[in-house]
Amino acid sequence: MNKKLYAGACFLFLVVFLAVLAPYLCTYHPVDTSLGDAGLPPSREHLFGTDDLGRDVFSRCVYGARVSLAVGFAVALLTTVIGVVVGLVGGYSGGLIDNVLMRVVDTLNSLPNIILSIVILAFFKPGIFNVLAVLALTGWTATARVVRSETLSLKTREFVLAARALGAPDAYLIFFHLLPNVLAPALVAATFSVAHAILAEATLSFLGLGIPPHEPSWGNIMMEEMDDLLVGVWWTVFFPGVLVISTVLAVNFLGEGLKDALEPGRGGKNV
Amino acid sequence: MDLGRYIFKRGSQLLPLLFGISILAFLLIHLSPVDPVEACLGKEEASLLAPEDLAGLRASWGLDRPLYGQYFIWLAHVFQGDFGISHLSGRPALAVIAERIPATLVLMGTGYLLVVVLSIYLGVTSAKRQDTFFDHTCTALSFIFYSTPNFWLALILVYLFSVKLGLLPVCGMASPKALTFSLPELGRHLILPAAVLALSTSPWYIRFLRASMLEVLALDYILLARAKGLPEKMIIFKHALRNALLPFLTLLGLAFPHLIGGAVVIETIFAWPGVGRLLVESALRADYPVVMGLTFLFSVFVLLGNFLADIAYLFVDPRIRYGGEAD
Repeated sequence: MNKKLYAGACFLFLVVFLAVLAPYLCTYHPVDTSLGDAGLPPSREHLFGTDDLGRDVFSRCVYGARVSLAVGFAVALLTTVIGVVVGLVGGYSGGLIDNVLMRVVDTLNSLPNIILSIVILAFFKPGIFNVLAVLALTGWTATARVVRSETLSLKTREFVLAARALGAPDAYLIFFHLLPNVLAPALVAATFSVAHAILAEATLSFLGLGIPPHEPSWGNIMMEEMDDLLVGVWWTVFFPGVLVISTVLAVNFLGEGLKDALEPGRGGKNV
Repeated sequence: MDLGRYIFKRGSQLLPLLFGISILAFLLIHLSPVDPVEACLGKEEASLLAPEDLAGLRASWGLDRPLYGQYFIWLAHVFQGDFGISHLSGRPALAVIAERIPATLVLMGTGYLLVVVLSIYLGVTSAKRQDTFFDHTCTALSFIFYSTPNFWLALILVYLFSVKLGLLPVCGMASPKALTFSLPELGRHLILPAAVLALSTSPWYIRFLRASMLEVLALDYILLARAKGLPEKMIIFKHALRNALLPFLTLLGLAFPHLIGGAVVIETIFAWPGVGRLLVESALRADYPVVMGLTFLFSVFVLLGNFLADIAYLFVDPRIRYGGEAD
């Protein structure tokens, strides 16, 4: 019984459910303003209260979940594809190719992701596709490293040597022997990159460099309403943040659970 | 391998990385569709300039040359300690950056110290009391803080301590009324940003130290120490912690990127006059020379952290020194 896995998966499922059914669950439209209802605290009418333009914060959060989750999953998919390809190619071919690829990884790692993202997004227009591109560009190195080291150890294992001795071509070895065996660690890395991407999107949108405000995401809801905190309106910032935390926590639990389930021998340091 | 040669070899690997990051940053910045003149002066103002003035301005910023030419000129100047002229302020970029460094050092230094103290105290205590209420609470809180966006934590703490309780200042490094520098004033302004930096950085280190303490506490020599009847304090601090700290020490060198990344966001929220906020400001106004300078500075800092972590490992774990290269 893997409690972390189930707890994480259940909560994540709930958030996905909310996001998918957003139009049926929300009684208010996320961008409809109603100045008469501005700044209302949480109530039965408005579960999470309303913001300074009278928009329903609950509806905005539910619609924001669509953007934030979409970014999280899309970035994880992109980073996993890039990371697996780079890791497999580098680890399998070794030599110059491996060296060049790993130096690229080192270069990207010599700047904190968030700084590289800020620099790039400031010079290209903020928007959902640029955010995706930037988070994918800065996020694949961890997966590549994991897959590469896995490939390095796999390629000296007997079953790979046997296949090679039987005359299997490189492409066959990579696709049918190495790829299936690196998928488990890659999946774990992908889960953690969902969490990273959700946090990074929220941070970038919060700095005004991510998703533009007309499309609510968890980060830009908080960015827009930040000033209201000073006059005591806490709910517009509090609730989207709680959603980010619980979703990221659920994804991290899922990742930890998957790690325990898929790589039982490799418990090691549980950090 | 002998120590000096190892350090030299490891150190010489840093230069190509710096080249790499400078080329990457340069390309990304200069391929962007944002026009630096428009971003700096504002669209309206830029359109009011006469075309020849505009061309003159672009020429004085070196924008009329081809990309590789711009890069080599930038690089040649960097070797002379010249990072160009800031488009926004018209002063040397290096001076603009340098005057912001102390504020960041104060914030990061305090944050770093807090991370070390928090993670050693909480890591050791929760390992010592494994599976108690304290340990479970500490684990739960570490997971929660690990998943919390640092800006959200900052906003909530500002709301609680500044808006509701009125105890601490909302932002800045000193109150606008203060004419002279005073340490207590700085301290009051420092509490919230440093706390946010530490709380958002330390969970990972607490978990790591806890795990490494548990690993050490399960070893035979600890059992022997217990059998000898040594006091628990001595076992924990003298026998176990010393060994558990080895991997932790090198990890602290790798904390630099986390701290810098955190500082950028936190400085922006708290209007802390450091280099992190300078980065966001200059990036938003397309001030190339300052952004390039800061990118360079940050990567030097991160690479130096990695380098020190490697060297520290040599000293604390002699096996690596004699057993060949560290991975």
